[in-house]
Amino acid sequence: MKLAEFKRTIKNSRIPVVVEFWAPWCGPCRLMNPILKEVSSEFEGRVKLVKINADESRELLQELKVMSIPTMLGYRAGEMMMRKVGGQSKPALRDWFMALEEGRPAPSGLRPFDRYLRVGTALILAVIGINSGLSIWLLGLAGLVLFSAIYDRCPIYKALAPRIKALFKRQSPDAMN
Amino acid sequence: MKYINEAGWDRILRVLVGILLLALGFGSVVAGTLGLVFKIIGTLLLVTGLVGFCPVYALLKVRTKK
Repeated sequence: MKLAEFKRTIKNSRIPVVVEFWAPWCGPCRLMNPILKEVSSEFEGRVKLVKINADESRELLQELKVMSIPTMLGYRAGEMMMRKVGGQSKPALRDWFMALEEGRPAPSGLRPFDRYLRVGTALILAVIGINSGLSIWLLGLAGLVLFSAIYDRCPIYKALAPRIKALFKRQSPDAMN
Repeated sequence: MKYINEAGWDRILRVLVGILLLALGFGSVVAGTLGLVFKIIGTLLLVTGLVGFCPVYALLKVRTKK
């Protein structure tokens, strides 16, 4: 797909658009394809799915800064609202489509059940830790569990995580040489 | 998430039993070797419950999550 055609498709659509960059040789894309089709059919008429072969659309990849596939971009009224890289499960995709349709921010990886379970556990561990003579181990464990419940909303983690990931990515080709 | 192989009730049960064992182990109710066993099993149950993935289930190809 050419850039002009892509922009026209995004701009002219009255409903939100999910753009998926895929390639025939990409394993996660092949795995995600049936799930994506199923979820997309659930949102038929509400969210439009546009699949773009990354091998045939180099110009688009550069323009949209798509560095790896599968990458999904969510557009509302011609504006990019969300970006998701990597294979996704059906519930995650469904949440993502729903958020895009409703104009909500992209849902984080942690589902509400997991978040509540972790926060509840952390609180119980902290209470037991305090009651059993300030047990460092239990309080430390409570802290760890609490962090695992809120890490995706922690501004410090958000600021540091991409840098750490970039550092590892930069180091990995050197390590192979 | 694909890796999750435990149902909600399974995870809650693991977390509760894990907390109980940890409380007994760290609260000096159970001391000695048994206390250490309680701490280890409690931690394992807690972690597998919170993550939602049980390696033993994966090895035995069992899933409580439908």
